[in-house]
Amino acid sequence: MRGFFILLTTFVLAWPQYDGQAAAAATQEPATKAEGQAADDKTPDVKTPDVKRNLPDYATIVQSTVDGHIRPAYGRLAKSSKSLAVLMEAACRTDEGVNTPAIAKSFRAMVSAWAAVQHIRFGPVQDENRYERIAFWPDLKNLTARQLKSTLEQRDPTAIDPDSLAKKSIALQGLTALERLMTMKPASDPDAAHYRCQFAQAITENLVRITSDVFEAWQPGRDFPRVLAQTGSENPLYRDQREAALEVLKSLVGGLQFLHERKLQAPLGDTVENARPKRGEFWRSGNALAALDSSFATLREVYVESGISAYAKSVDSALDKNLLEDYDQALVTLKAVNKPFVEASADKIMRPKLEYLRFLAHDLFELTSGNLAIVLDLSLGFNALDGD
Amino acid sequence: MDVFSRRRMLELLGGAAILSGTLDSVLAGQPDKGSGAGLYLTACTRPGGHHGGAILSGDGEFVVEFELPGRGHGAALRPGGADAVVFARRPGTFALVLDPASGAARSLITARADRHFYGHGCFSVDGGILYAAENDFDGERGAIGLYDAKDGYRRIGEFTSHGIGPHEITLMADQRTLLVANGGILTHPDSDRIKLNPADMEPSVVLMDAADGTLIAKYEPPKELRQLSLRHIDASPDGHVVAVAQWEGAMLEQPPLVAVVDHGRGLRFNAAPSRVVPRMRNYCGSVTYSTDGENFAVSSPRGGVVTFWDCEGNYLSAFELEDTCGVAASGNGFLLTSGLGVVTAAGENSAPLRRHQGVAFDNHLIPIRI
Repeated sequence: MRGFFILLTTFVLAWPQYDGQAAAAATQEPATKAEGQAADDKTPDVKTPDVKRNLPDYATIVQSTVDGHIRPAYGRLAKSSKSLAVLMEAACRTDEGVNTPAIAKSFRAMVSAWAAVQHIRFGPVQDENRYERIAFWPDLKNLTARQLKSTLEQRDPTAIDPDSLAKKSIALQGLTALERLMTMKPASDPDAAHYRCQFAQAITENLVRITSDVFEAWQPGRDFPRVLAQTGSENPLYRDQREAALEVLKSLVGGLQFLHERKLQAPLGDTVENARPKRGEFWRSGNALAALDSSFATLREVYVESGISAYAKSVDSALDKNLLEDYDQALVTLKAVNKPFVEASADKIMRPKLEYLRFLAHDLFELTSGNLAIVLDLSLGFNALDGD
Repeated sequence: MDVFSRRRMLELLGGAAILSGTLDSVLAGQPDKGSGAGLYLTACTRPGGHHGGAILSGDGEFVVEFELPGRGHGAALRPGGADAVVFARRPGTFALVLDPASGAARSLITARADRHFYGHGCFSVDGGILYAAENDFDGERGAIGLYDAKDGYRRIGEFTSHGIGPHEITLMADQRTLLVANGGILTHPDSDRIKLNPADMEPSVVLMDAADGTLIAKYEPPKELRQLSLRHIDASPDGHVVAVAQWEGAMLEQPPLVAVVDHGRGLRFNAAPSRVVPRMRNYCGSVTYSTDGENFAVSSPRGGVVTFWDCEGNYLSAFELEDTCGVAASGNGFLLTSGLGVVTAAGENSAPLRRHQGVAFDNHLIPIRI
């Protein structure tokens, strides 16, 4: 490995605590105008919890989220990838094409499994750009379409080999590219059909590798779960369990925001006249509603499985009730949408249901980033949240 | 920017709709507050997504507050103090020209349809040209837009940034070299800041002739550090240059984040001591030299720490402040702001301190009067 990196294995160091004392120790270094100052006498106390009570058990929140939500959800994603790859391989071998009913069904399961982990934007999925390589979305300039077109026209040999595909543009590597291959017009000749199938097969194999790697990297004892569990002054990411728990809350808030802004607000528009339903996710394959369902369900799962719900209930039961009702209302409402997303967004009867979903997503976002963060005594920050 | 906010902006341009009066009236009403000399400019946000900016006094008080059509980012002061410009956060398309004395809006620059701003810019030494870091997103290359400050900030041309993703730009002390931090990441405004090329990023520090854009030098990190997005940069009065990075590589790796330019040779990377490294969270948000150029300060908002270094790039010390990002040279140290409404001094014994409720100070803070 790169010698000058301080790698995980070397983060056991002899420095006591990066707290007031430690910061004071820093002042023993060459004195300058910009001298280090003890954190606890200079740093303002910027946390103002408005409730006096026992703080949540942050360590349990983190551990429960990993065990009860993250690891099983990545397990399902890896499993879905494998099923899809097996079907694609068989279909290509028998020249059945890339969109058999079995493949379409398996793809839907994969979309749901992806939506169930889409809010997890920290940890192993961030390495090697795995997140964007699994699905490149939103893609309003149709970069995927443009790149697919030239790849297909040139029969680019590097796109049909999973090894070389993994090094190509992220727009060609994942679910969004695969969805287009599955839903475009049938190929003009057998050679083109064969190439398309090989390409789809390479994508599914690439997805198997990425999702298996992420799942593996979340197994107990691996680096990232250890970093989340064993916080402290030498930890490269989290000083204490409170900071680790903040990562969980950030993923919940970020997931709700993405759900509201990208999956609902952008395609629905303010009125039916300016609706842009094709800005929805996975509408081409008719899976937009499946993805929405999985998003609401998985964010509810974070809220409950992490133990945050139980803690919130003990402090502010009305807030907990409101949050759970919002999630449940959303899931019930989705069951009543009986037309595809693109159609439903312009339909007199169905559109209000989608607008209600948008309202619920926004309400969940506001409550979670506002009241719930206060109840948990966690500060989401502003510059820290998505810097530049 | 939506229709409403554009209209609102035009209304503001018609008259000086300032929330808290003009500078003179504010200062007239305030007794001498001691150490709080100087004036500073920053973007800020209030609850409900109300984006604006503020001029702060050196002791952390609001002098004036103004509205912006969207979230702001960096700012530039025109030499002589005639104008200040606040740029939209990427991928925004506005830059607001305002009167640095009153905060009154003067004009609104709109990016070309096929360009967006990256959030930073600077002026030529005579104040005649405003340089803006821009994205030629269809051409997939960085651009430096040129605007004629003497002619209503008309766009009069552009230079290549000699790289991808130009972010912060500044004029060096020789007054004719333009310094550019090319973050190296390809993005498209319609793809929600998704990085298109993270596997083959091309970050660089570029020195170019401010008169014609001719490349003078281009410094790139070694191959194993190519995932360091060098986005913020500053130059000292005696020609030192520092660039700081955000790591786009694996979360658990801890590369050095601070690079000092060895002119004619390359980038010299420096890491903080191992006890401080974790607090920087692989992410630097802002960098600035002290007034005398002897030291520089680097903010790391994710870990809530500002680190101080000497001009050769030797680590000196650290100061903790949750969610801090804005950092500016003050008379005898540095002034810091945070996303939690805090304004504080670092490097002074009697640090004046304000904590404003309901306001988040954005990434950058610049001195407009020391």
